[in-house]
Amino acid sequence: MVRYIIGRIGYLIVTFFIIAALTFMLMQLLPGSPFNSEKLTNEQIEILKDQYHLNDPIAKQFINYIGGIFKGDLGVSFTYDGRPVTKLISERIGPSAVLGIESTIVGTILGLLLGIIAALRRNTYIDYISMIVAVLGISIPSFVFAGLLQYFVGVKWALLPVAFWEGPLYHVMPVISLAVGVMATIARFMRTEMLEVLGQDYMTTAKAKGLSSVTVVFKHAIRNALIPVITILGPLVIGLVTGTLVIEHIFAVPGLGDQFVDSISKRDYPMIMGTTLLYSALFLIIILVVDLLYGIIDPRIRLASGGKD
Amino acid sequence: MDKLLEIKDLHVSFDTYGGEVKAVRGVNLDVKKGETLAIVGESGSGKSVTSKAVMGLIPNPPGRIKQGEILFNGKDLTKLSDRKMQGVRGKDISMIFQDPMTSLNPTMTVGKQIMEGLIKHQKLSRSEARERTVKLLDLVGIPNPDKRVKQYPHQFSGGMRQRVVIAIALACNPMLLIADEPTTALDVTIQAQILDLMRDLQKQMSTSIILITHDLGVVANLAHRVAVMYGGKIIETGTVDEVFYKPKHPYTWGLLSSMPKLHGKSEELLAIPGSPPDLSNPPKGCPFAPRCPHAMQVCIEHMPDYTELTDTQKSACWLLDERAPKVEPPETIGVGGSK
Amino acid sequence: MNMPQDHITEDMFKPVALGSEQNEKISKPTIGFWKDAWLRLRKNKAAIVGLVFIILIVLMSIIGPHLNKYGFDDQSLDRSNLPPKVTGLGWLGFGGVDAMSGSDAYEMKGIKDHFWFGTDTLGRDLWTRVWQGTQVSLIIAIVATLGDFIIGVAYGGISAFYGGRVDTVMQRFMEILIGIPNLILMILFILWLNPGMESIILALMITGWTGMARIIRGQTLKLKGQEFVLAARTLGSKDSRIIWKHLIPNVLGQIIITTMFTIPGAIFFEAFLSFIGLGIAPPNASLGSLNNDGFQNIQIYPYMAFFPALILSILMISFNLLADGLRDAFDPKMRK
Repeated sequence: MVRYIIGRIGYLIVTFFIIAALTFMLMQLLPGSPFNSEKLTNEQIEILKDQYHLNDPIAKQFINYIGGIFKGDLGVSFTYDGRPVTKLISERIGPSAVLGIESTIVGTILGLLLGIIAALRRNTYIDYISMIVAVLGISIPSFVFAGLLQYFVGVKWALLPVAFWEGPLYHVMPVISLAVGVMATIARFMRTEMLEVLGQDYMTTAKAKGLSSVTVVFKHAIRNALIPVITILGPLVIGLVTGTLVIEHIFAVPGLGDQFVDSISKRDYPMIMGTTLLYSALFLIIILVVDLLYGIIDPRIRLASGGKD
Repeated sequence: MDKLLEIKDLHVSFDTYGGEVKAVRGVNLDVKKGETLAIVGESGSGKSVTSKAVMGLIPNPPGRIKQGEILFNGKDLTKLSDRKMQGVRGKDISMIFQDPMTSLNPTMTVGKQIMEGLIKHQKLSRSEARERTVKLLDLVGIPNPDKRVKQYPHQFSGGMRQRVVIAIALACNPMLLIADEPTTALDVTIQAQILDLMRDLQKQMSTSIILITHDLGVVANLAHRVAVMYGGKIIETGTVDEVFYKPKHPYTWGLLSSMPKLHGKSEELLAIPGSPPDLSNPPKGCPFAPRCPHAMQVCIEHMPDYTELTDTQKSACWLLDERAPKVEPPETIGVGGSK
Repeated sequence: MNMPQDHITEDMFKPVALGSEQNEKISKPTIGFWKDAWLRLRKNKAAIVGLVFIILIVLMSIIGPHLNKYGFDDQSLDRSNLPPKVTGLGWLGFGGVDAMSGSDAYEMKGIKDHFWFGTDTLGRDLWTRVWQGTQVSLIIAIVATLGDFIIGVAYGGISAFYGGRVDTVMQRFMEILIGIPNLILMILFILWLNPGMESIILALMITGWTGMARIIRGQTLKLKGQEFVLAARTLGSKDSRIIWKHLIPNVLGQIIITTMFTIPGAIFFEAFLSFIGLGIAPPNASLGSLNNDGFQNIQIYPYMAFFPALILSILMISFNLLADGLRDAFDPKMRK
C-alpha cells in the first residue's frame, strides 16, 4: 500500500512537471512581454529584463521558473501593474473555493437523494421525472442555465441579486447554476449503482434475516451503492472548475475563474500560466485523493492491496 | 398437530411484458417438525418460487401470490403484514442461498452480518450478539472464529462462505430452514462437508428443513420425504424410499434415469428430451405430457388428480388410472448405492 | 380444478406419439445484431425524439442560412437590435415589439422586412447567423469526434493487440496525457494556435481520443482471450484480418456509444471555449459565440440570447438522449 502511494505521488509529480514544462514552452513561443509599454525606453526595458532574469539563457530561465513554482513564485502579471501572480491568485481564490464547495455539497446531496429515490421507485413517474431532470441537468450547459436564471430570477422578477458577491443571497444563483450539473451527474450514477446493488443476492439475504426495509436499504443497499460514486468525484470537480470560469464571469463573482477568463481575453500569459498550474495541481491531487479514498473505503481493495492480514 | 408448515393450493404468478407467467400453479405441501422435505425438479419448475413464497420474498411487483394459504404453526403467512412477516423471517423461518459468493454483503464484516439478525430478533446487546456470533461460527466449523468475525466475505473461500450463510440462517434457532440449492455452487468435496454439517446441525437443533435441489444425490443424503415438481405443480410426492424405489410418475423415472450412477450398466447419461413448458402459456393437461414417452390423449387435455398409493406417496399421472395401459418403469431408474 | 371424470372416455387412454420436437422449435425468427439494436432503440421514445430533433437541426443548419436574402455577416446599423417578427405569430412573441419601449421596433425604425429571429447589435440577421453558427458547431463537433475515433481506435487497438512492451509504453504515455486536465490542455493549445475553427478541432482532438482508446483497448483485451479469436489464429489468419474481421465488428457497439457521447461533449466544449473568448472569431459565428453575444445583451435584448441558447440546449439534450438510447439498445447490461 505504501509503495503504491509513493508510486502514485511520483506519477503526480512527473505529470505536474510535464505540465509546467508545457506552460513554460508556451510562454517562450507566445509573443508579448510584460514591458511592452510605450512609456519605457529600450534601456529601461533592458534594465527591467535583467531584473526579471529575462536575458538569461532559456535553460537557466526554465530552472528558475520551476524553482519559482516550488517557492510559490509564478512571475508577474502583464496587466495588473506587474503585481506578482501568486498574490493576485491568493486574493481571488476565496470566493471560488466557497462557490465550489457549496455547489459540491448542494449538488451531491440533491443528486444522491434523487438517484436513490429514483432507483427505489423504479419505473414510476417519480423515477421518470428524476431522470428527465438529470438529462436536462447534464445536457444544458451551465452558462445557458445561469444566463436564464439571471435573466428571469434576477432581472425580470428581481427575486435575487443579479450579480456580485456581497452576502449569502448572492451565493444562491451561482451555486444553483453549478450544482445542477453535479446533481444530475450524481443522480444518474447513483440510480444505476442502486439498481445494480438492489438486484444483488445479498439483498435477499438481508431481507431473509428479517431486517426492516429501511435497514435493508440504508445499511446494505445505499452503503454499497455509495462506494463507486467516489470515482466520479474527480471528473465532477474538473467539471465544476470548468463551470466556475463562466459562472463567475456571468455573476461577476470576484473569483479565480472570472480572473482567468479575464486574463485569457487580455492575453496576460503569466496569469494564465499561473492559474493553469494551480488548476492542474488541484486536479491531480483530487484524482489521487479519490483513488486512495476508494481503496480505503472499499474493503475488497483495501485488503487486496495490503496483502493477507 | 405435528405439521409445522402447510401449503394449500398455492398459486404464484409474475407479470412480465410477455404476459402473466404462472410459476406455481396449485401446490400442496406439508412439512412436519424435525423433518427434511426435499423439493426436486429442474430449473423453472417452480421449486425456488415456492420457497420464496414461504419466506415472503416474492418481489412484488412483478410477482404476486394469487391464491392459496401458507400455514406456519397454524397462522397464514400470506395474510401477515410486512412488519409481522419481518418478525418471522430470520427468526422462525430462515434461508440458505445457492451462491455463497454473492449472497454475502461484500462491504460488511461477516460478524456484523450474523449479528444483525440476532440484534433484531433476540434483542441482544452488541457484545452478547458478538459472543453468540463467535459461537455460531465455531458451530458451523469455521476455525479461529474470534478472529474471523472481523473479516470480510472475500477473505473466505466458497465453502467457508456457505458456512457463514448457514450461520446467519441458524442464528436465531429457526423452526424451519429453507435451503435453496445449498451445494450447487460448491466444489464436490466441499459439497459433502456442507451436507454433513447440515445433517449434524439438524440433529442438534431438530430444525425442519425444506431442501430445494435438482441433485438427487443430495436428496438421498439428507431428506426424509421428497416432492417432485414440474411445470409449477407437484407431480409426485412420497418418502425417499418410495420415490427412489417405487416411483410412479414418468417424470420421476426420467429424473432417476438421468442421475449418474457408479455401477450403472451403460456409460452414457440418459437425458429427458425436450424442455420444460412455457409457463406464460401453461398446458391445459399434464405439463409433462409433451415430453412424456407414455403420453395419451387424456394427458394433453386434462390434468390428472393425485392417486394416493400409500399413506405417504401420491402421484399425479393418468397411467395410474385403471383404464390406462400398463406401463413398467424403465430399468435405468435403478438407484445408486447411496441409500 | 379438473374436469368431471365422466368427460374422460376410454379412447382417450391410447398412447399418442408426441415428438418433443415441437417443444424445441424456436418460435421466433432469429434477429441479427443490428436489427435487434434498432428494434430496441425504436422502443425508446426519448431516443427517437432526440434523433428526430437532431435530424431537424442538422437539416436547418444546412438550409437555414439560405432561406432569406441576408448573409451571416451583412451589417447595417439602421436595422440593429430588431426583435423577432413573423407575420401571424405576434401572439407567440414574434411581434417585433421592443421589450423596453413596448412599441413595434420595426415601425420606429421604418423597416419593412421581417427578421424571424431578429437582428443583433450590428444589424445582422440572427436567423441566418443562428443556423450558420449551428452548422459551424456541428462541423467542429463531428470532425473532432471523427478525429478522436480514428486516433482512439488505432491507438487502443494497436496497444491492446500487440500487448507487451508496446502496450506498456503506449499506456504510460496515455496515462500522463489523461493526467493533464483536458480543459487546461485545450486552453493552452488554442492560445498557441490562435482561436479559430481548426485550432478548436485540434484542441478537442488532442485530449478527446483517450476515452475511445481506453475503451477499444479494454474491449480488445477482453476479446483477445476469447475462443473465436484464438480459433481464427489457429486457422492461420493474419493479424490485420483478425482485427478487421473479428475485433472491430465486436467492439462496434461500444464505438458507436462512445462516439455518440463524444459529440455532445465536443459541442459543449466548443460553446464553452467560444464563451470564454477562445472560440470562433467574429464575424464568423458558432452556437457558443452567439450565446456569448446574446448574454452580453440579455438585459435589454433577451431574444438575442434566447434562440442560440434554445438550439444549443435542444441539440445537447437530443444527443444525450440518443446516446443513452443507443447504449441501452446495444448493451442493455452496461447502463452506466
